Amino acid sequence: MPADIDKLTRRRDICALLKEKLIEALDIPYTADDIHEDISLIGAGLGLDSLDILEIVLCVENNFGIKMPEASAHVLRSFNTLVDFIIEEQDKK
Amino acid sequence: MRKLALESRWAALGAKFGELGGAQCVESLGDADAEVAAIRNTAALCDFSFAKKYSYDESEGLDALDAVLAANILKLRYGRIIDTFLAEENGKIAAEVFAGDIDDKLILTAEALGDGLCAPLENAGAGFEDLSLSHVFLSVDGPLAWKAAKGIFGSDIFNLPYLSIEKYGFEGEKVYLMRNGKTGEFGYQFMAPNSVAEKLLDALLKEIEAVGGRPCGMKAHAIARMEGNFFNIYEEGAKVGNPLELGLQWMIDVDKESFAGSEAIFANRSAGVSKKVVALESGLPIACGDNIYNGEEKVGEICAAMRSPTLGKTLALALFDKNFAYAGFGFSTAPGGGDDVKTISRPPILAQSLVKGMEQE
Repeated sequence: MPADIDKLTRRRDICALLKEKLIEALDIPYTADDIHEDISLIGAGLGLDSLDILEIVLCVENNFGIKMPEASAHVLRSFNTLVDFIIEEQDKK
Repeated sequence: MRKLALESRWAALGAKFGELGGAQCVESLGDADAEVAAIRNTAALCDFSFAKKYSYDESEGLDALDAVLAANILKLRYGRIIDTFLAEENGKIAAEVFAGDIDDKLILTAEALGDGLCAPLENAGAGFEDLSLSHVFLSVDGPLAWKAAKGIFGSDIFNLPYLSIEKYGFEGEKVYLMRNGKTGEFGYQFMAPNSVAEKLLDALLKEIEAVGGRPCGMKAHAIARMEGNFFNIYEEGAKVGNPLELGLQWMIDVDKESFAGSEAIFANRSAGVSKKVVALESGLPIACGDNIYNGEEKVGEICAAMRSPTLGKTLALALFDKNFAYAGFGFSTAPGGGDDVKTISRPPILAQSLVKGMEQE
């Protein structure tokens, strides 16, 4: 069965917006195309520190209207796991 | 073929040997599932001595290496490690390189697709020394790996953040300890001269056995690496080659004027890539080279696949049409077939090291 185009478009749009906002908030020297969806946010990959993590939390809360959990390490394993969390929280509304 | 210095010791432990990048490696100790379980639950000892190992004088080495490696080596700080790559002139990845700065030296380890491909690193001058035959490179990975490192070097290891390097004494010799795991769990690598290699092996075996761990081959390590969302040059790297399709942009300083292969890589970046690697899971035993379809249309091809004992299913990477390279969608291994593979977000596992941390006594 072909992939659900509406669902695919929704994920693609969320990824594009999140990349745009993260590049802006974190002053990352990459373009949106440079950021692979599976890139790690902490450690290898973007190598973000605790201050950057705070920026990500604010970025998600302000742009997607979602409250990030206090213990969010599992959500922040990669860009994709963060997108999964956003979609999951949006679906709960 | 470059042989392991500890070959006879591994043979005595029941090792089955293989080859990686033209060098001998320990493929398995006979039970890959148990070896992966040790990485995920306790601690596993692997021999990474197949990797190329180099030393340079820091003063000249920084400029020499910055001219060839994709990252900005000039930004490397004392005691830290940069994860980057060496490319061929055509832009294809030749080696994943970890460069550490310690004690007025630059210490490099390179997982290369062939020893000959590392020539640009060996022509770098700058007090260059090839440690590939004179040193062993042992790795302990797992949520309890830190206990093994602490057992050898003491509580000082708690001061090592991820991607850092420190120098310690062991049996009168200088040993480099790197915190540089590639499984999602804690990982420590020990680079030691061959003169103390057997003693270090014995000490590490004793440490991992004390926490219920075991020795491990590269087959199990490759599974844990894919589960943990870490690049593997010998799997997807060898098959795909293009660092941009592999999603390795983060290893590149895009503001650098040039490095080996930069002309091809930057031209490709300007033009944009049409494919990218995405992870898949399936209940089927899919294999490298299998095609993936969206209805009747081919949208991807498997570039690495292995059974994950942690997940109990096949875990794979596929080079996908970028318009379909998103997690959470069903595809088929046959034209017009049902959804028998699903794209997923990486990492598909939640590492115990992330949950538990180091439970310091």
